[in-house]
Parts: sequence; C-alpha cells; structure tokens
Amino acid sequence: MLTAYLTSVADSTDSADLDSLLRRIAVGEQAALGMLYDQLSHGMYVYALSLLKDRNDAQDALQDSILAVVRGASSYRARGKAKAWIYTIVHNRCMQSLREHKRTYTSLDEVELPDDSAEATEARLLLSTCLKQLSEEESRIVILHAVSGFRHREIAAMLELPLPTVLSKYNRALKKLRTILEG
Amino acid sequence: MTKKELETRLRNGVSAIEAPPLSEEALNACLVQEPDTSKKLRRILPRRLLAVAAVLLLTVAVGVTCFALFSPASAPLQRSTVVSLDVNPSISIDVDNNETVLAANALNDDGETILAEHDFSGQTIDQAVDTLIAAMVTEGYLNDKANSVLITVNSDDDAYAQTLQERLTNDVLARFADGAVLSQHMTADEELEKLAAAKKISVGKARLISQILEADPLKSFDELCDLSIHELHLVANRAAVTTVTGSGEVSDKAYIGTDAAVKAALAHLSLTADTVRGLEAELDYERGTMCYEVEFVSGTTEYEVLVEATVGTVLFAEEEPLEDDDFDDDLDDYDDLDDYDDLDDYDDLDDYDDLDDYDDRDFDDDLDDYDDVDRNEDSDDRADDHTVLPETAITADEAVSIALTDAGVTDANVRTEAEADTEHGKAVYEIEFTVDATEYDYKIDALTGEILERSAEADD
Repeated sequence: MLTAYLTSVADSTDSADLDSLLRRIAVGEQAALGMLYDQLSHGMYVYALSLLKDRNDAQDALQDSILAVVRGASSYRARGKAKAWIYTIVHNRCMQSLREHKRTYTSLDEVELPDDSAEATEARLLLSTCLKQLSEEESRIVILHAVSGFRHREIAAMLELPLPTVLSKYNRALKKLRTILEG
Repeated sequence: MTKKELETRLRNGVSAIEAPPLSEEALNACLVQEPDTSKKLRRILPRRLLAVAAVLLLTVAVGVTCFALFSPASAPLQRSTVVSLDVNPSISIDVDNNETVLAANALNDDGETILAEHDFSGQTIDQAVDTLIAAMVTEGYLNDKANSVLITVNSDDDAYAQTLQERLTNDVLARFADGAVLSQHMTADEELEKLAAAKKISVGKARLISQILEADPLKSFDELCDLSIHELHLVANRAAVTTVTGSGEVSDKAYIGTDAAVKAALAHLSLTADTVRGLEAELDYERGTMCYEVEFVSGTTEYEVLVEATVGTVLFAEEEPLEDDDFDDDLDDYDDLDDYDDLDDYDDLDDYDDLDDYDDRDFDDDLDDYDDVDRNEDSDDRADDHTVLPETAITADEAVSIALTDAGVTDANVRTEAEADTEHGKAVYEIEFTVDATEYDYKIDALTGEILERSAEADD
C-alpha cells in the first residue's frame, strides 16, 4: 500500500517540513520529535480511534506508531510523502491491534474528552455518528480528508481506491452525516 | 448546512478530542538514534567526489603515520578492537594491534560453557574464531537447522574493522562450510551499549535488531530480543536489511517449508491450489512466533494466513474483498488515465465545489428540491458507484422491490435510494426509503436477494 502511494502521489504542501523534522529525529533531536508530535498526533489519534473504537487501544497504537516513526526515521527516504508514510504506520499498527484483540467496540463513552462542554458533546456525537452510521471505509475517508487534511487524490492512493470511488463515497458519507446532524 | 460548513463542524468538533502526550519511551528512543554518517555521506556525495576525498584522507593518514614513525616522543598508534561472536553462545574478544587475543569474555551462560574449555591467550583472533566455531559445531549450537553466526567488529578504525569483518567471515565459513554469517562493524556506541546491557544481550545483537527495526519499524525491540541469531537472520532477510552483510545460505530446515505452509493455509480455508492466484509465502516473525505469511487471491477475495512455522498450525486467517477495480475491465480505463490527469482540475479546485450539480444538489438547503431529484440521484449513484456486481446479481430495482414487499409498502410513489456496495466480501444493495415518517434501511444480498439487515425508525 505504501509503495503504491509513494509512486503515485503528488507532494503534500507540508511534507517538506515533515521531511526535515524526520531528518532531525533521525539524529536524536527530541525537539523535532516534539514538533512532529504536536503537528500530527491529533489527526493520528482520531484516525486510530476511528479504526479501533477504543480509547486505550488507540492510545497504544498512537504511541507504538510514534516509536516506529522514531526508529524508522533514519531509514525513511525523503520523498515528500512523510505524512502518508506516518499514517500508513498508524494504519498498520491499528490493523495489528485489531488482529491481536479480535474485538470491536462501538461505545465511545470512554473517549477522552476535556469536559462535558458543548464542544465535547459535539465531538462525541460527530465521532460516534461517523463510526456507527458510516461504513468503515466511509469513516476512514471522512477522517482522512476532513480531519487529517489529506486530499482525495492522496486518500485514493493510500487506500488503493480509484479516485472517483473516493469522491463518491466521501460525498455520500457527508450526505449521511448531514441528514443525521440536521435531523 | 453546506458541505464546507459540515466539514468545518466536523473538524472543529473532533478538535475537542485530545491525543495523549508524547511518551517518555518515544523521547528516549529518539535519543538512542544512531546517525549513520558514512551512509549519508555516500548518499550526498557523488562517487567521484568520494574518490577525491579518499585520496585526501589517505594523504593525511600517510602524513600522520610518518609523523608517528619519526617523532621520538610519539606513542605507538593504538586501535581499540573488540570482536563479538553470537550464535546462542555470545562471546566478546578483545584484541591488540597485532591481532593477538587479550581477553575473551562470555556474555551469556552458553558462552561460559564454550569458554570453560578453552584458553585463547596468545592466539591470533583468526585462530580463536576458528576454535570457537569448531567448538560450537561440536556442542551442537551450530547445525544444519540453525546455521547462523553473527560477527561484529567494534573498532574506532572503520576501514580496518571492515577488513577484519570480511576476513573473519571467511574464517567461519572455512570451518563451517554450511554456515550462514551475518557480519557488521561499528564504532563505540554508548547508548546501544546501555540498551544491550539492560536487555542482557550483546551489543552486536542489539545493533542487528536496531537495523531490522529500521527496515521494519512495525516490529519491536523487546520482541526481537528474545529471538536467536538464526531467527533474527531469517527476519533480517525478510525485512531486506542492507546494513548488515549476509554470507552463506540461512537454513530453514527447522521449519515445515513454504509448500507445506501453503497447503495448511489452503486446507484451513477449504480451498485448492488451482483455485487461487498470486500465491506468496514468506517466513517471518509475527504474533510472537516464527510463522509463514501466506497470501493469495481466490475469486474476489484476498486472503492472508499466518501458519506457525514448526508444526503448521494456522494462527490467523484474514480475508478482504479485492477492490472493485481489480476485476472490472471497464475501470481499467481509469488506470490508463495515468493518475486521473483529467481530474487534476478537480483537485485544484479544492473540495470540488465547482465539480457539478451533483454536489450542489447534495447540499442544497432546499429539501423539496432535494426530494425532487432524489430518484434521479439514485441512478447517478449507481452510475457513479464502482462496486462491481457479478453477472448473476439481481438488479437494483429487484432489490428495491424485495425491500418494499418486506416492509409491506405498496405505494408506487415511495422514493427509494439504492446503492450497491461490498461488505465483508459480499456484494449487497443498501436500500433506504421513508414511508409515513418511518425510515427504512435494508441490506439485501445482491446475489441471492436475501434480506441481510433491516431496520425501521421513526423519522424525526
């Protein structure tokens, strides 16, 4: 999957910065790791949550992924695809976790939210709607585009789907979400 | 709500979810990164420049040597060299400038066993390695099923270390012709030494593991620590590690072999070899054990099966539907468009706002208009959808009819939405319609017409 991505996708706008951070991580610069984490951890965590549907497993997957990124930083060859490389690691970690645990959670009550504010309620509603009402592929596409900022073309390459399929699934998913949220 | 508003709401909404803080473990792992400057230099500098640099270095080296020889006050140049041998016995050997053994130390219990019967003082490093390999063969540590030896030369003289590494590899293979040698050289690395001490393994083994992790970041240091050098050799081959040199053929005789693994995988799924394609089987370390990773495709399903490598038990089997375009000749055209160049403009428009009426209609705030075009949209959806149904599949209209009949709906004017999809390898129609403020959702098996799921909810 990663290889397919590396060979077929145009540069991401922030990839040069990530390439540079990875180079610095490879020589042991902790500050660079902190910057990379600040930049990507939220999207990575939400993506892991969307795949695993369990807070603890998603946290473990995030930490394991970051460790893998650190250890792989020196072997990563800068090709402007750093973000996709990192998300592929998250994806693989999550798939491994699913295989190991052989379980599926649908409850998001345990998802760590700052408080019971309106924002937290909205977040829980949106995420649980994403997970319960959309197919796995639809929620994956929505999270990757709307939350993590990948272009549809990049998602098509990452998930090895034709671009028109990603487009139509994305539009359909948003339609479902709108119907539910406005309902 | 427009599409952009919905996306913004989604983005802002999930921003309340907090990722956990960066772990100490990751920060510490960052600290122990080992910058391979020589590799980077090679990547950055063209070959010719390297040649010039080598000549310059040689000139400087000759100068330094001459100075050392002719300066009465200068001490003789001292190299600090430690050779370590890992099989299961792990032994480190300190050698002086003349390659005479200064000391040999056992790094584990098996190493103690081997060293108890030998005294290497005064011998050359080549003699010591020859004796040790002979002893390990005699004691059964090296045999036709586990034939791997790891040689690590730790020296502050990189060029010398490489030469010694190559020579000792030949020494091992001269004594044990059926052996498989992994060899590497390194300079002192305090962090790696700390890590090796904490895990009670040799620095050479710690370096080998770190090189495997660079090639395959999805494995962990801890799980690889428990593996023998022979197992690590197999894993390193699977991960295509290029920073450790391999010589000789690593034995897989301890395992059932790829043919038997494939057979076990197919039997587990009640499939036969003639019904599958794209068959691949490779030995790897997964789920805490050595196993064969068998992958193949049957029909429209892709399978991955993990077969335990010594007895052939199936540990895990996963199936996934192949993506639709894999089987649709019509869709090959998309591939031929070379990454959808004609769609480039859409990308540039960011979010496809101007794409077509489809989007505008989708997110039109006027629900009446939306309803009016609903039926048309069905056909659009079907045309747009690339789920490929088998020729024997029922039509969308037939699926709709099955759902309406089941719901007891006879009103021919009920608006329906039908969408073909693939779920868990099964082609399905998803049917939605609303009657008297009740929203119905159906999933119908596209091959048999069987109702797989049904739900009816009050439409708020």
